[in-house]
Amino acid sequence: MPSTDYDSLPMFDEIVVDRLLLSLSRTELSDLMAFVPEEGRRVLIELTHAKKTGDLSPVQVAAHGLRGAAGNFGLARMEAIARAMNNKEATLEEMETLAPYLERCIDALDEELS
Amino acid sequence: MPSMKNYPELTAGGYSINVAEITGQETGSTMKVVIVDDSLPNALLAQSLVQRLDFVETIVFTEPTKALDWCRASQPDLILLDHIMPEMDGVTFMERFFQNEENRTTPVIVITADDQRETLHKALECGATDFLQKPFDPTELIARTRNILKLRANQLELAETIERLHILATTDMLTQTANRRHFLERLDAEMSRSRRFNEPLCVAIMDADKFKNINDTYGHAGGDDVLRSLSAITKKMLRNHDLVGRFGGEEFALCMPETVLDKGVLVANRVREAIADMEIPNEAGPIKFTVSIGITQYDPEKDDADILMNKADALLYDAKNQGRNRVVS
Repeated sequence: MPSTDYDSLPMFDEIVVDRLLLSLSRTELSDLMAFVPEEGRRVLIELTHAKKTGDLSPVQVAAHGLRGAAGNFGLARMEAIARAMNNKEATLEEMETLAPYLERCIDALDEELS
Repeated sequence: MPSMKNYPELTAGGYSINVAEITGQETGSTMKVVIVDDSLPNALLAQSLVQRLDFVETIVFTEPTKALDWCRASQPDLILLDHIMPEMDGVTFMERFFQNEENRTTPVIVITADDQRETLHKALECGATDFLQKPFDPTELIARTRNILKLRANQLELAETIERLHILATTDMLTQTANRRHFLERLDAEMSRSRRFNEPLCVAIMDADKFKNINDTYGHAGGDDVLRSLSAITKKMLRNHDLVGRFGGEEFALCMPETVLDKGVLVANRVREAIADMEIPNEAGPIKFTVSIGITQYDPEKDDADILMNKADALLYDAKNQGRNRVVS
């Protein structure tokens, strides 16, 4: 179990979202945000590959991209999970424990945006 | 929720900075902003924000190599560049981008995470103009983009002005040949080159025969037509690296590098014959005229520019005295 209960973190960083809404309409923002779950799913796919190859670097690269995107869109929970997976010290086991949190976060975001 | 397929073409644009507003000129042009980020949501977010500016065209790439390919064929006005990308990092991108001479002054804003100070410094050393930290503040991204595009518009206007001034300072506006000062500067350089590489160099002075009669008969407009046609045909008959300059009035100078005297005389005679065969339309009837040419070869042991030009001038005087419409060497 990771030390943080990611499920309990807020989905959005309201300050970042409010800033974005100064420049974008709500529809524009949610349309753009809808591309982020795809980045999350890429991380999960890379993790599945890593279980076979033992090479974690593609997971970290994908997690880095997700972390940046989630951060820019104010997706606080997803950013925190991506940050943990982007950690170079993280082991495969630690990443595996993070995967369900990421899956649930992706589903919740999809739900939010639908 | 839009699917990836339904999302508009990534290269679509058509917004941005009003260049006319900045430069005071009605150019009607748009500034091209290239966004390079391997993360599609980030790239699209940056695009949406940059498109808040008027007259900006945005082009988005998630693969840096494709962005570099595009930049080889087109000239961007600004690049927003993600620093960490799997295919290549921002520094490598900039190294390749700046290899092209035309891109040296193109501004680049590097976007990087807040914990990458060292790589950020490297990017700035490599030529990045500015940077933004992720997560980026949308207002800051728009403001920095706008400010840099303003500078870019001023930079382009300045470059255009310098180019215009250079043309004005070096060109005879009536004939579009080199003016006297520019011709002498180039002659000086060619003489140095001739000395250094032991290459022959010919210089000729050409003068329209009885030009005063042309002006008297056909008016100054007719005289100007003669000078323009004479210059055009002479330039056409010489090689690209030869130089024609208007020395004053109806007198022109020709500089022919890597040319021995015999060859120079041959070329000068061809020019003379072409001019003699020419007819310039005029209300008072077609104008026909001839030229006399004095030509000499540069002697590095004896000649400086004055001596060389005086030698050619004396030979031109001989050509006039021998009945005009001829080349004397």
